[in-house]
Amino acid sequence: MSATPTPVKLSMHELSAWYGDRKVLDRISFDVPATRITAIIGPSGCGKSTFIRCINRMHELMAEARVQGRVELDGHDVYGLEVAPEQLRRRVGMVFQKPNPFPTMSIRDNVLAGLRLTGTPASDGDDTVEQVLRAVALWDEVRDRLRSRADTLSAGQQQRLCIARALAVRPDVLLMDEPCAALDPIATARIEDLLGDLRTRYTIVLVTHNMQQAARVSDRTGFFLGGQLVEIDDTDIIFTGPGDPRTEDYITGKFG
Amino acid sequence: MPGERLGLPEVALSPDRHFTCIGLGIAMTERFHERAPPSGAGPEPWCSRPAGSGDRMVGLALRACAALPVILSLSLLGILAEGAWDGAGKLGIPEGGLWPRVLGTLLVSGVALAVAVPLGLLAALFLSELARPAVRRWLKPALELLAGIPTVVYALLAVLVAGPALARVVPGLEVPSALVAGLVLALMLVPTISSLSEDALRAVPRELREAALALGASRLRMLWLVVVPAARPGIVAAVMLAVSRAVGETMIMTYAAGHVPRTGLDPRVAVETLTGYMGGVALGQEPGTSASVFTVGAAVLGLNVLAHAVVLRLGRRSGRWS
Amino acid sequence: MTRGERLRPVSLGPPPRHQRRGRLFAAVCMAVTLLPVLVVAVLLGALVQSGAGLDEPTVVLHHLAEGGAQQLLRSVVGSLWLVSMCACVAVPLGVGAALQLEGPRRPVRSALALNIASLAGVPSVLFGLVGLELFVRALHLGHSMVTAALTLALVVLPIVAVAARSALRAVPDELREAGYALGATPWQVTRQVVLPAALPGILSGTILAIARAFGEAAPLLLVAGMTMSGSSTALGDPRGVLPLHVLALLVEPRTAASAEALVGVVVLLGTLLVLSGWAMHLRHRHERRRDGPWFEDPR
Ligand SMILES: Nc1ncnc2c1ncn2[C@@H]1O[C@H](COP(=O)(O)OP(=O)(O)O)[C@@H](O)[C@H]1O
Ligand SMILES: [Mg+2]
Repeated sequence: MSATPTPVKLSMHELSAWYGDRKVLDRISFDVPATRITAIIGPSGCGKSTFIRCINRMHELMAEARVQGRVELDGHDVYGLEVAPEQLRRRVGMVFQKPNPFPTMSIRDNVLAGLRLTGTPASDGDDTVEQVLRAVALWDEVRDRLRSRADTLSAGQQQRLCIARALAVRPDVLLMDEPCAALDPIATARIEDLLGDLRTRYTIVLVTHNMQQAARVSDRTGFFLGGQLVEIDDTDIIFTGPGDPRTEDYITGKFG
Repeated sequence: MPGERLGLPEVALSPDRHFTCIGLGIAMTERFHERAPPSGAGPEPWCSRPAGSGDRMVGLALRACAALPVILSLSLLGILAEGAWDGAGKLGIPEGGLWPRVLGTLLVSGVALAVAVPLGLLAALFLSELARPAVRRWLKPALELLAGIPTVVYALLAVLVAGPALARVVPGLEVPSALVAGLVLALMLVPTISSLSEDALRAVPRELREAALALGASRLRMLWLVVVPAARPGIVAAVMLAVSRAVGETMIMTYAAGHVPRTGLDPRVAVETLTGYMGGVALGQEPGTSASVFTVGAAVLGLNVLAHAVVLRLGRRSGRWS
Repeated sequence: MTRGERLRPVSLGPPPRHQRRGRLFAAVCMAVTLLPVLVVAVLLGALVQSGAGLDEPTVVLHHLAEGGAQQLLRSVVGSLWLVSMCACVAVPLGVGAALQLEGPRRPVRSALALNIASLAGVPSVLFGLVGLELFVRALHLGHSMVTAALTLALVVLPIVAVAARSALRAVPDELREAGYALGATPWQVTRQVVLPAALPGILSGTILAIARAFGEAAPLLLVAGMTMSGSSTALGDPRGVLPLHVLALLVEPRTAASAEALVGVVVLLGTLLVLSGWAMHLRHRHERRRDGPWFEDPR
């Protein structure tokens, strides 16, 4: 996979984050190209989730959480005073590690949840449902039971439903925090296929601790260690000739 | 003549006291909400908050709701503290003194808890650990229903049925007496203790039990040495709730414990409890002033708080792993 | 020990002595659990029996026909009226307080939570004193139904708040996060994600609180302006509500009026049985529903 230069969608400048007094991200700076998949790898606890949650300002929902530095989306500072985090989160969708469909809603309502929740009238609700469910390759599996409860689906289906739910809000950016960590290999493969389809239309930031996954699906890969960005480069460079010995050690399985 | 029914003179608290309470309540909750997110008021339209979102109104309403309990507790304290002083600025003491009623309360609650705590804990252990699911399915709701029976009904049972029946068995038992009230009270407390303790026991993670069993512990030892200690905070909370129920229970105390303020420790004779005094005055069976009723009320609250402290203390000490 | 012995499987399970002790213990526990249930059942049976043992059953029928039935009905209606007023005040406020405590960005709200929890443990008579001071004397509402309802609301409010809070806490944070990640505001998440998920729990807690209010007598004793001469069943007089009305049994036992009060006891217990049964059913169904992959294994 080659990475022809594309416009910058997201850029981080000296981004640091704390939980209470504990600094867990240390001056992260890099750019994320538009309509590409950027993978973030690193041992657990190195701050990947914290980083990705800083992008759509989910981090600040935690008690005691604090951020410093800039995150720019299309050149706008997302931490600007006038920015409503809710509006930001509609442009930057998120998929979590554990599938978390709303258990009290039907499959259909889950897909439309983003619109319902934010009070956006969905005149073409049925079209949207079909379109995004097709986009996540779930349509054929659930078209006959759109009204049944979402928690009757398998874990892999639930995760694709959650992706569909995020897409229905029509974001530009999709943040995925280890979206396959709770899934079996077959469900994982389906999500990876799906990522390939989505990358033409969305800017995707994918956190994973599965290095093969990063190598398979991403265009660029960043390696985090102890809250710092060790290096970020095109995926094939990272996996064939990384610039930093620590990256090499991690990738060859010497630690982590 | 509504005012005279209680035989209580009208000494309303000064209204500014109420306002002070309310103000303090709001101020206290306000402190917890300093971290409201900055409101959107900037020049750029990018991702800014749409105008007229109702969130702020709702936030205010919810904040008011949260302030209410604080106001309520402050008023409770204020009203008890102020109502206890009569018009002449003297502390209202019921005829016969406060002490006999405190002792009466301790005696009746003591009898009740001495019965209800062991029964309740064993019941909890049974329901959560030992009962077969089929037994548990009907025994648990049946036991919990006991907690839902109104205390008036317990009072009726004590006076009309349980008292006379007990009198036939226990020599020298008077019918309104500490023993009758205590035993009937115990019936009411068992489900209080058992259902909360059971929740605590069931919340102990399976891994802990399995770890103990894997070390070769017998089931009983596993329960005793691992599960019960792990559930201890919940069990203590259950006992605490039972203590405060016992001390504050009014209907059973009014009808089944008697109205004879006494300092003896014989549970077979009539005594008078703090709450029994309040009930007696309210029913016009006993002379009393507004100030004395409020004083007794304050004593009930004090005893309640004290009992909580004692139970907490006991729970902490007995809970160490040996 | 020979090799052959070592290869034989060890007997599984605890040694027999332990086993016997365990069984004995279980049996004792079961007896202990049954005891209070049986005792109360027997006592209630005896109470009803004592009323049915009236010398002249026809006297009771006559009394009921002569207006006793109407009196009973009035006290039931009075109780329902009282409890609905109380619920209208206490339930929204209690749930609101719980929402505020469990809302987004929970800072250290433990002081407020502790306050509510301790209020729920305050004996209900004391709220009678507060009602007397606040509603009868300061607000001049008199010994009225409104006073009684507001006083009961003070008793019920913390109970509802505590129950609602624990139901809200049981809603997994993942669901809240999902809502926020879709761009919903805190209130939107609360109303459309958290409340529906917590509803069964809130509902069952509320029903139990209302059941409690229905049978509560002590605070009413203080604010209703009772006298020794017993209850009044005039509609709109809090002295006539069911829990106070049944006290007539004590004033003149074994008369026609007390038989009527006995019927009142049965009505009271029946109502509470229905309410608690409903609450238990809701809770039970809710517990079984927790089976999504995001929940911890419920053991
Ligand atoms: N809510 C929290 N409060 C305090 N510390 C946290 C919290 N969440 C994560 N951390 C800490 O922050 C560090 C980074 O965590 P995280 O971003 O979740 O790592 P990763 O996703 O790479 O495994 C970890 O050391 C973790 O212990
Ligand atoms: Mg993580």
